[in-house]
Amino acid sequence: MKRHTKILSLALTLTLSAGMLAGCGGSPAGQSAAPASGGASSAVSDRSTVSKIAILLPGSITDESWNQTAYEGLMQIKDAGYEVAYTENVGSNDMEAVFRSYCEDGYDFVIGHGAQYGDACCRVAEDYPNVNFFITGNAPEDISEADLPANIMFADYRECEGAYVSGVVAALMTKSGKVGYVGGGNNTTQQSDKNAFIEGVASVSADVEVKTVITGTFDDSALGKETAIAMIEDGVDVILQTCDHTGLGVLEACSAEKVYCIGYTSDQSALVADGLCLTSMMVDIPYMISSQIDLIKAGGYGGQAFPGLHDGVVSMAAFSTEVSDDVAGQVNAVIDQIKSGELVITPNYNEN
Amino acid sequence: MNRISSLAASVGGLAGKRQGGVSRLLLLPASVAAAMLVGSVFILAVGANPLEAYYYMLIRPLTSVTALGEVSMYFTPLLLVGIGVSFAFHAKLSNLGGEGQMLFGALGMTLMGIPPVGGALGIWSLPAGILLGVALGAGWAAIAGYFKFKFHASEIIITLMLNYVARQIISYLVFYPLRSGAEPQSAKLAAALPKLWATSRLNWGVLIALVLTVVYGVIVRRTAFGYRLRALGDSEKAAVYGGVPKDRYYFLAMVLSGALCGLAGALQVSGNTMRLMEGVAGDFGFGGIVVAMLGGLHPLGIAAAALFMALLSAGSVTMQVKTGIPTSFTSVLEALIVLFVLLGMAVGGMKLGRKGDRS
Amino acid sequence: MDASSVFNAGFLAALFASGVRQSVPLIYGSVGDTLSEKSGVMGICIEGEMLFGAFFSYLFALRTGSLWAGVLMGAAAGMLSSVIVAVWSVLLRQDQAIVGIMFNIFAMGFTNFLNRLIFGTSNANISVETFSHIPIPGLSRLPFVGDVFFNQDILTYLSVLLAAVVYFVLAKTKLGLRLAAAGENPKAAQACGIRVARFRFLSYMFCGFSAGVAGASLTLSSVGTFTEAISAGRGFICLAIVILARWNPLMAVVAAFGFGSIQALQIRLQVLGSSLPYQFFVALPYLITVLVLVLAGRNIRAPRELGIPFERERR
Repeated sequence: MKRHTKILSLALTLTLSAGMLAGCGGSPAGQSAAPASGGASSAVSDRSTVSKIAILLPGSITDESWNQTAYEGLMQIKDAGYEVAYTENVGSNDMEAVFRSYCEDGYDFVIGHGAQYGDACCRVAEDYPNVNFFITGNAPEDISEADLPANIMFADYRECEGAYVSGVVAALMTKSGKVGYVGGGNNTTQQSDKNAFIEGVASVSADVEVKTVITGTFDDSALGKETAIAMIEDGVDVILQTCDHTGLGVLEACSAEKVYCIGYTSDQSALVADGLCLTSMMVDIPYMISSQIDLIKAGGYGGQAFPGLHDGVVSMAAFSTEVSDDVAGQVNAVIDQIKSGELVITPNYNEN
Repeated sequence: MNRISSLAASVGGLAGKRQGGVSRLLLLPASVAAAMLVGSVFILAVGANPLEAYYYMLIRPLTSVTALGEVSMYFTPLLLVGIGVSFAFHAKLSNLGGEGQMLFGALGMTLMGIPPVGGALGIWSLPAGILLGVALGAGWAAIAGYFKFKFHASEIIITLMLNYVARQIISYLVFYPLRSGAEPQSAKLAAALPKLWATSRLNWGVLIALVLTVVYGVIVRRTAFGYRLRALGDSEKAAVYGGVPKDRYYFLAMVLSGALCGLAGALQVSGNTMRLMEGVAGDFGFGGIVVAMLGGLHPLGIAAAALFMALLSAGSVTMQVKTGIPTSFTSVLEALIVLFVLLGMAVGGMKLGRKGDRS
Repeated sequence: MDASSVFNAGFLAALFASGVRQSVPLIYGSVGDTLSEKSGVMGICIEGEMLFGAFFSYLFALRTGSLWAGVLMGAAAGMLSSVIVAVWSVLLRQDQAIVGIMFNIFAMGFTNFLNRLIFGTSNANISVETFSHIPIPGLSRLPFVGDVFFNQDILTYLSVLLAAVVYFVLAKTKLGLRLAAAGENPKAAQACGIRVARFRFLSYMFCGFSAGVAGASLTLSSVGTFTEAISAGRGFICLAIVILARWNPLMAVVAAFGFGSIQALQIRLQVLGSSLPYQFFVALPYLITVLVLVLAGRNIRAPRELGIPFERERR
């Protein structure tokens, strides 16, 4: 029996290794795809060209929101003839490793999709001076502007402008005098969205109450639904959600309970019945990325930008039939004021 | 079903411990190969070439010092958590709380590294942070250890639950009291672990981990403490009869386990992220268990397994870039490897570095 | 916070109704786990089985147009996936915790993988009608409790029924006694002719079945679609519930209702403007479990051989 065990395991090893070779066939891939030698510095020499683009995403490309729109944007770029790659669910441990991995593999434009990638990107960018980097968020606050690597562009885009407009829409459409905001949680963008929404509501009427909930998760659609139901039971009749998968549950609840909602990142009106999705605050990530490519080609890429409604990076989806012309007119007036710079929405990252 | 079960039992009974070393040498690679073969089905399903995928995962990261530096980012925490949980496994305790213990270790390093303390300590914040991190990691594990010997509460459940609690505590800390600036993360540490090589992320953490692996081997195999720990794992009854104070040993095994996980967390912030943030412990809590299992609790085996798993993680990005296989495949492969290794060990009549007899 | 808005009956009724809805997956999960733990095997794998149940129930409900087909297939998927765990833990006698954890990792990757394979990157547009609420004649008219307990969907009623059946089987039948014997003293049980391995294997499968229904309740009662990682840690809360309920399925219903209500309360506290950090509420169920283990530690007695692989006497 002892002997049998040995023979069994030996046989198993042999069969499997043979199986692997036979099953996969062909020559070892290593021969055809030898590692690029010398790293990025020799592969990329001119910063005003771009050919291979990679993006680091904090979540999953199926979230119908923040990550998925980035993915779709990337696919559009791919269709335009560029070589693209993406990595999903890049957490705090992996950020630097993934950045470096792409740089080593000869990618000459690497995007970190979210302000949380700024710190790691700064460390990597110094080692790869010929690679361009783009962070869709603000620069780390405790690194002085002079110390920011020149080859990174930070787009501290004004998503909060969209949230402000959403606040105006909500305040104009509410009948009960109570509106709601459901956020996923833990980053600057979410925080400033929440605060701007409250400001937007207050700009219309001091009497409209804003209820806010931070669910703490972007993945739990069942929790999102319960959250929205709790708000609706409290009398809320317009809800803005900015929380990806969790937000899908919010939309589902609004659809079922016949309450107005406002979508996030993309035009989500198709997800909600009867035109109840009044509009969506959209971030045109494809545009954000493709416009970077033009900037890179113009040379001297890097620095900080603050794109918003004015630049078309943030926009509002078409109003649903539930929104009267009068309300639409008022909202559009606010949008124009922001675009012209007459009204400035400063991101407020503070609690409450 | 009963027949299979009795067959497995008889195989287990006959394959004694003495020849376990030889058959393990064959069985482990065979099991890993079997898992990779099943993994190939997934790779083929997305239309990629398995050999190419495994090349990028396992061989490519070894081809330059820069790439090795990236491997070390995974190797160091995997190795430390691996030997950490092995201490517990020797006493037949399952420490599933590596994640929480790492988080507390990371917190310890952060508290010593950020203002006001960090600036004053300068480079000395590193040893101070390591000490505090080790203490906090050990303390967090001690909760589970205490309940185990005080109430005989399942350490499995408690360590698992405490992960969630630790996660929320760290989330709260980076969101409110420790927050620096707009992002929910702490201020930057005053000092980073010194590098070993200019163009690579290799740092002193690797050396610390390797030295401790040797220390682990000596403790487990050459000291009275290690002997008693293993005796306790082999048969609690016999060990207690032989005079081993079991409650104290259970507690100590858990605390040692937590101390090493805490160290992993401390090195993680000072050698990688430089700030305390959510998710800083990654999946290393469970990854370390995989490593301990694959390594058969043997120091050399654990080191080899940690390297193997680190290669998988470090190579997964390149693999995805070159072949289009999602990086999440890495975790599926990890799970498959462990399941197959367990299968192999069952067939070979082996148990996780300990004999099967329970009572 | 305005105290009057907290203590009116309408608010409380809505709160507890939400608590009931959120407890349904927890009830299915914890009842299944109670039974398997009684026989001596731990359901660390519930989290993963829920994902299997959630995905396949959604897939089949969508493809067949029948919610019941969805529930059945979800249950079947949970049960089939549990066979993996059972083979490794019971037949191969490997560490249940490690097998369970690895199975969960596998389940997460596998369901994501299938989701993308079948639906591409977008399935939010495709949702199924969810189960509608069935007011129980008479009872649903009762003030307060009527809305909370007797105006829910069918899966809610069935969850309580299942708990009652499992309670009856465990407490009042010979089968239940044998099952408990497998968990308390498997060697003696084997000596009395009880096939311990078979009991444990089958109870793992029952746990998988029940967790599969729990997953189905997430997709078919709540959101009507599958999103990746939809189980969101509920499987681990089930483990906590089983301990709190001290391995009594009826108490598990109560404990699950308690956790569901805490969740419902935390949402409402935020709506009302409480300033407690949300992290506190997320950690609460786990904290309660640990605290209960401390405070009532000596009185809580798990099945004696829980988590310990059973090996027959060698002859």
